[in-house]
Amino acid sequence: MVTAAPKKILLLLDEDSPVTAEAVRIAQENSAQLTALFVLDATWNDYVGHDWLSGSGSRADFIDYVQQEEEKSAEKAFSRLKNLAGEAIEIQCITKVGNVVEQTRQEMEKGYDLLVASNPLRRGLERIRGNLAALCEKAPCRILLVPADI
Amino acid sequence: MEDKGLLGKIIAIIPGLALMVGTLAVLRMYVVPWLGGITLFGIKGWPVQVLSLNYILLSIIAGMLFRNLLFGGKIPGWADAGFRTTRLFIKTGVIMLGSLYTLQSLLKLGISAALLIMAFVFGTVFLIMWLSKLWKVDRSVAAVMAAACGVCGVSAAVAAAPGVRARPVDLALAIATILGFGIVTMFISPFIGKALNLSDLQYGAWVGTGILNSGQVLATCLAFNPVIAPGTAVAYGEVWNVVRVISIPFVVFAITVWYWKGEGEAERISLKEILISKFPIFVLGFFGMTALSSLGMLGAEGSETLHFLRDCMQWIFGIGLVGQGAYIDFREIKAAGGKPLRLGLTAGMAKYVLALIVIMLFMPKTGAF
Repeated sequence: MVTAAPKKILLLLDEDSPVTAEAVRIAQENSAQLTALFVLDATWNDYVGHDWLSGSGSRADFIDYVQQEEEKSAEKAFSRLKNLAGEAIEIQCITKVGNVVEQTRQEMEKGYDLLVASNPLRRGLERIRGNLAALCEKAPCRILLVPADI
Repeated sequence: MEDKGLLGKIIAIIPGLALMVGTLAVLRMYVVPWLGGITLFGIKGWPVQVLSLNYILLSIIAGMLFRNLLFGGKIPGWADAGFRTTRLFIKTGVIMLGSLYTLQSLLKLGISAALLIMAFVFGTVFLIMWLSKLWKVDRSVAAVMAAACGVCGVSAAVAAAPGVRARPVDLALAIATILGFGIVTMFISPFIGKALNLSDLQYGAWVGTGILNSGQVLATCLAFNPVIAPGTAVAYGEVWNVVRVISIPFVVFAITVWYWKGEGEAERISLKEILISKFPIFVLGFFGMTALSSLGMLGAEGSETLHFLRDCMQWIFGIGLVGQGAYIDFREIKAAGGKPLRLGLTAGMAKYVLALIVIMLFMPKTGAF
């Protein structure tokens, strides 16, 4: 199958995955526009649904803490991306809040040629949920999966 | 986010709650009587008698099936608000359990419970700290696992995580480990208890000490004996559990102090601050109910009021446990791994087995009531 070189690339960012370098390389080789998406996982409240002992204050502290950690991860990921890319390519950075797969799919609908994501997904709670199949199902663009541990 | 207002919030709860209530009704009215009539290996009601498939375990199984099969791994939006009431149901049930005791019986049981719980809580914490040094595990991972395995599972991990700067991914792995271990113990403990002919006191004390997660202690006690009354497994198990719950802020403080010793830049907070923010307030409701019971304000044993109260508790726990089951995602548990899993399994198994040995050697068959 012959496929056109990607001109609009969506990168699903994680803090420390080889996926970033791969997306930068593809964007440079094809002079493509790169959009980096970092989804701040907002599903922690559901994940700790088993916790019924804590008071609302303790739970709120926990959720605040996780959000802060997620934001720190986002900053690191964007900073790492900018270091890797330098001035060579045009980069747009987007942060979304919610379910990682749902938010990524919504962004994919906006007309990209290629999504570059980590395999397995490691953003937020996807580390233990592994919803890669849900991300790929009926995808509106091509998807390149980069092994997470190369 | 759209603010639904109070009425909107109440309406949003109805579908999920109706599903939980309906499920429990079907289980109690049709499924349990049907299972009770099945004769296998010469025993009438074998699934209930031997496998303890009473309404409690069935409620949890139904909840797990909802999430993992029917809902495809995620509680759908229409049921979400209703299932979130799970916490409220279980807390209310535990507060009502306070009515099973008098202050005198609670004091008598509480002392032996406190001694046993403290020995096992701090024993587990020290074991994990030692293992983490041996296996070169990150201090924050070790601290979260020490809280989770030492005290009461997910809640203690949630309480400890901010103070020890645990990475969210490590926390997720720790929680998955605890839940996985808990599910296994929840299903095998009633079987072991019956095989070893443990009394309700011995079983309650064992489960209350050895099982990592508080929700699972409750479920495992009710699976062994679904009757809610003074002298049953849940009455004994819950005393142990309440002592454990009260210890959360103290253990969290001890673990955070240990963490600070290795992390010079960690933020310091006092025991007073931890007590205020982490103390599980609902425990006061439990003691309030015990006070009412001690003053005879709930009626004498065998009264209509107490009968009604205990009937309500069975429904409240059943509904809450359907919800608890629906928060168990098999994919998440399957993903548990790495050092949190090694630490959790080693400490969890040690605690579970050692608690059984201690109970069998030193705990009498009958107790305070």
